[in-house]
Amino acid sequence: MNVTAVSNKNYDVKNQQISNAYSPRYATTLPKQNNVSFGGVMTPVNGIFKFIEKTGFFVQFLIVDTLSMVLPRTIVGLNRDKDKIGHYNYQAGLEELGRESLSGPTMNIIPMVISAMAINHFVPAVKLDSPVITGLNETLLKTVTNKNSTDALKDTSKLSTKTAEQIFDTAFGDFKFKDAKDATNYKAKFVSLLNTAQQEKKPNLFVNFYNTKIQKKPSAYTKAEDDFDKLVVEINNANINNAEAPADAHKLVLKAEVPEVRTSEKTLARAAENEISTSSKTFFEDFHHYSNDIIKKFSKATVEKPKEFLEAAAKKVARCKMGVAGLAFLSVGAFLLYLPKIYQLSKLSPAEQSAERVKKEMEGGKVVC
Amino acid sequence: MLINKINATPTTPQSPLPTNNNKKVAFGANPLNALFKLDRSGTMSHNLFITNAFIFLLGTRLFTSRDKDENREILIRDIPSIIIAVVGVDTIQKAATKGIQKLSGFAIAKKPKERISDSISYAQTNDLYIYDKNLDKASGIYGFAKRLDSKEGNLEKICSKLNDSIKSKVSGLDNTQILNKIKSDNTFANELKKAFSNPKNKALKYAETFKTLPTVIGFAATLSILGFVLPKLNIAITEHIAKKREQAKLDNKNKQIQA
Repeated sequence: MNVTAVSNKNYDVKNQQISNAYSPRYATTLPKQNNVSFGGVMTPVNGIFKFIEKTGFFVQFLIVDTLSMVLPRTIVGLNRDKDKIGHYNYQAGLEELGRESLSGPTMNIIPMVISAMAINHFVPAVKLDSPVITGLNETLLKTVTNKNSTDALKDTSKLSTKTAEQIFDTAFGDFKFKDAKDATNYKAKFVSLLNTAQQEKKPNLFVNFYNTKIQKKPSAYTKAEDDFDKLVVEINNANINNAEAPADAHKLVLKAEVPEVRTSEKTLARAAENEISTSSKTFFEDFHHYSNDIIKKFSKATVEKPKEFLEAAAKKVARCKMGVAGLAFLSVGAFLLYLPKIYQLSKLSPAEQSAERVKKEMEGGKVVC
Repeated sequence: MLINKINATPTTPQSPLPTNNNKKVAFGANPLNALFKLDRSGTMSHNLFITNAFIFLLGTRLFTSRDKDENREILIRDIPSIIIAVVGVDTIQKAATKGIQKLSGFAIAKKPKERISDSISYAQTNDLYIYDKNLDKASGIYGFAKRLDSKEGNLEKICSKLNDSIKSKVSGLDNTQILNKIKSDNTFANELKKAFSNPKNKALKYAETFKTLPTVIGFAATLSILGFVLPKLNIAITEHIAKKREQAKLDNKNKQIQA
């Protein structure tokens, strides 16, 4: 079992680990790179690790775990006492294989399945990190208290559109562009792409892979996600307020008041530096889930106190998140308790068998496998 | 009250502790809230994973072990495995990133000002080492180079990789001098912009290689320590203990015979 040889979280809060927030599809829009002569050994190695990074966390974990833990340990197991028994030690090898290949991946698969079921069937907003929900709630609140939005309140699509406009103003309102028309154009495109996020269905991993790589016809959602990423990069790069190129051109920052948890002065100080920033593709997906969960519920209900309604929604999501994590934790535990029954092939462990062989050797007897 | 939007340049970790600024603060943190969460991909968060590994992974293996020898092997193999896998490998990679950044002069660290740091991703490498034409509307090639400087890159070493002409022009100059040259010498600035605009430029190739090295080192460390060294050590310890046990029995037997 190996953890995080390459990490891939998409949410950025300062002082937490800022990790890979970039989609692999951005990299694939560049022309293919030819081998450069000085690349030598590193060019194919770069290629392998680029592929690993592109495929996302779980595939990375599987590849790295298999190559660095499962295979070597199986080889060591097979060769255990080979000189004494005259052939490969199949029991030791198979036990190592069974134990290592099943424990590591299932510790990730089980939570992923439980999380996917919760998101797809119960509470979509569970996918979002709590500060992002807070930021989006604040934006939605501004939208619904805005007199110009009253006609949109009972229609999910219209309310999403107005919220998207508010998000643009929040994230990029103080940006300055060379051409005054740029702001209007960017806003229109921004809102149109977030509308697609709200209206289109997000294809699952396999369907997406088939559409994008095999059919070469990405879905409307996927195409809009790529365009949204390019747009955010363009907006960030084109901001003439920046004295230097933006540290992260894919970043989108929501202004919001984030309630902080104080456990000590140090924690308070670190929490105060938090900003709610997400990467463009993460935000696109977040908006998809948020609009189909909280915005939809808001437009379907008669809401007399919007602030309290949204706070209650956020609390419900927070409780669900904890519940899902707890369920995942216990499910993994239950499986790991059952797992030894699968890989333990005999009453004697390979360790005990090794000890028995040493004993027989020292007694001058014949070692039996 | 709104939090002030932090500008594009990241603040340094050494900045003085900020005041509360009337932010809402909830007292009495519930540590379970912080522990029980899943990452975006649906996997357990780092701390939750470690907790689960020690309680269930290690615990269930010990609970279902068949004999004392297996018990001992589990302790010797799995406790260091979990610690090295979740803490050690990461630390090795982060330390390697900073080391390679200092030696090569290429900006490859996510947190360049800290002692150890993760590497940037391949997509971020593309952003840092390929000039995006949209920057023409704002900070331009100066801003692009300034960003590399902010991320602790050595502009002389980076720019020298582009081509020989640029190499001769930046030779012996420090970051400030190169940035001033970009401001004052349009020809140089344009030459630099053209070179960086090439999506196959050599500085990018070097950056990708340097950024991959810590991952390779981490992978090699996992493979060797967790894949081979620990299991072999385990087997050696089992055999050694079995030999000692058996030797003690044989010595006892001999004493009884002599008596």
